[in-house]
Amino acid sequence: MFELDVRSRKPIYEQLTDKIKEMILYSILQPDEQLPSVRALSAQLTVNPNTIQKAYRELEREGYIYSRAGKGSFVSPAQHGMNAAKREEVREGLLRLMVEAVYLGFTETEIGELFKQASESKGEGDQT
Amino acid sequence: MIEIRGVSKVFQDRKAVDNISLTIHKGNIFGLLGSNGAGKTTLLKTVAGIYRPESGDVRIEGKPVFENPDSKGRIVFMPDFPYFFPQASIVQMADFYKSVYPGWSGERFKELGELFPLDPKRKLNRLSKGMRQQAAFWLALSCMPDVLIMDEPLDGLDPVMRRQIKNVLFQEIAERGLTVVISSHNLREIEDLCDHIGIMHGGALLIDKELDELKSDTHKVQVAFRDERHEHALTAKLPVLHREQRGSVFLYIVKGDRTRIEEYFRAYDPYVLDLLPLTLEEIFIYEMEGAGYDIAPILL
Repeated sequence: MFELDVRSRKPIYEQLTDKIKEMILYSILQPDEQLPSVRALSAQLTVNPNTIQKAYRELEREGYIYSRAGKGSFVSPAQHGMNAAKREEVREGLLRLMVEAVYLGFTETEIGELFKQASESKGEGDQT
Repeated sequence: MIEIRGVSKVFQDRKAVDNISLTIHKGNIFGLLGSNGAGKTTLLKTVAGIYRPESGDVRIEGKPVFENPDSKGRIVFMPDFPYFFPQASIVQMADFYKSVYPGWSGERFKELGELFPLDPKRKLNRLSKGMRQQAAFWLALSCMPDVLIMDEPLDGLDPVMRRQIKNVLFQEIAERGLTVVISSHNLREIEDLCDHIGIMHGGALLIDKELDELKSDTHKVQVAFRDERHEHALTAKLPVLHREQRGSVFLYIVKGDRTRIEEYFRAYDPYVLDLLPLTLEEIFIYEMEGAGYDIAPILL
């Protein structure tokens, strides 16, 4: 279910939280779907259970998941705040690329073209 | 919980462990790192109740360890070279451990037998280093300890077996709350395994921290300034552990909060700015440098 990069400089719990957030945002994990137990995920990924526990706690704090005593952790129903955080992240990424694009002499029309291309490809994706 | 309070251990006139205090919580994996001769093994042996400290004490779940069979029955210490009786086979060693450890589980011994491709009737001195290491794990885990102390345990093992053993350890932690203390020089290994880290040098403990915290607390910053004068203005304000200049690119190791550091640097609008988390190896080397133990830049 997950692929972690143990060679990466990024702490493993951060990789885990990012992966799970991503899966929730892209609806790979559905609202109220149960997440694997700490034990199961630890065995599957060969990751310290304390690290997984920590990632789950962090996700719960941020409202991505909720836990039920004795049952496990579940995905929270979609929230407005989650989208806002993602939007902010994408905005920053776009801005950074945009600065580069401006340096390289991209015009406004060219960038507008790209936007059009992206929304068209999303349209196609929705039909299939 | 393991509580180490003001422990010192002296050999002849040399202080091998110098006034160390440390708490290790139940269910944690604590990685002990340090330079050669830093006193790691001495500390581990003191925690295991093998050495009597000159001052201070070690308690596990509130009870002293030294000469206390109750506590010791719940601790397994694995030395860097596993010791077995001469001519003994695994079955014979298992019988011995069974007579010593009250928590010994024959059922667990059988279960774990599926994991290790060893013939329990074969004499241990006929086995290779790695196989003996496996046998030591097999026996140690069958004792169902609450605390497992290991001195450089994974060195002789092949990658498949390492993963296998890590998985078993993680399960024991998740299910029974086993506490693991491990010393190693293989920093990559420790990085994947531990959640808490201690770094020793010259008998003292330099650092005792949660691994993720340690990693998110120290950053490698690569930066090319618009004006070299910015350099001085900035470094005066930040806790810089290490500084290097390669052409127009400066490399810093800075302690502190990531966003705050980034803001500081951004304020000068540098050409290039890159913030990277450190690897454990880098943290180790820079901390050692801070303690006056570093790589001599000499070509021989």
